Amino acid sequence: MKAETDPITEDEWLIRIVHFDKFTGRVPPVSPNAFEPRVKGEHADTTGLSLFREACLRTPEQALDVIAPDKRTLKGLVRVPMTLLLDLRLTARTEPIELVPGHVVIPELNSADYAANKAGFVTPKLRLAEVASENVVLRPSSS
Amino acid sequence: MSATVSGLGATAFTRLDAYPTRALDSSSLTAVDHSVPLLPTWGKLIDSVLDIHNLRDGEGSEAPSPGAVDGALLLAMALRDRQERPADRVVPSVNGTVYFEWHLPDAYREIEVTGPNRAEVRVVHKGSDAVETFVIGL
Repeated sequence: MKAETDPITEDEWLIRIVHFDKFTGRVPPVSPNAFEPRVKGEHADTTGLSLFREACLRTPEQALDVIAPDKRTLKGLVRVPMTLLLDLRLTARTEPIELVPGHVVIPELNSADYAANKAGFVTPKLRLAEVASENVVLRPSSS
Repeated sequence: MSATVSGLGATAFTRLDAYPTRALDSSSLTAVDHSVPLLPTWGKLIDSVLDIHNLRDGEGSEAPSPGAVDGALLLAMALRDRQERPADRVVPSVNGTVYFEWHLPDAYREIEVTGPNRAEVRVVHKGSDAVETFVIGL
């Protein structure tokens, strides 16, 4: 395991928590809109879309520790490689939180930029979802 | 707001926005495949829109607004009646809107219903980063 203070390297994978309603039985299983920044509310993605470094977690499921226990079954997990972010000219920036190590954000996918230019987010959302769909770690167990 | 679909697109030409605007019925949004039964699938999508009305993330996301749900129902019924290819899925966004998604062999298309009278269409073709976008009135 890596410490979250360790530099993020190109060979790492990132974990994204995805709500059950962004999964379907169709192909691709993960909606591109699983990668849409929240614009409003307490958890607005003002600094960027939220993910976790798999290398900093005991297991991918540890990422769900940020979710209230009674809601964890509503969540799935997907993983995307850092190399995909680089291909999309995106970056990952460490943004430590209390509950789970390895929290990062994609600063280019932030709420303000999304609100100003939704069309500019279509391609990265689509590509992230395509790769995430091939790398589903955990499907939600209830809906 | 009318519950019928007869007025769909009628206001599109009067709506000015940052995007070019065209009426929903000015051109087909999706390819029509008459070889498969369409209505049952649109029926399921309409059921899904109704289910969205009761969804709430519980993790800080904004629930879809009643207006967006109403607009999504109008749109789904209109596309069903026009026998458009059913969307591959309908999903609530984290920002109070409702998305219809088509994952087509040659393109990805999404319609984001933002209110009872308005939706934004975005299309990106395979192999291209260019996104076609326009607004439709419902």
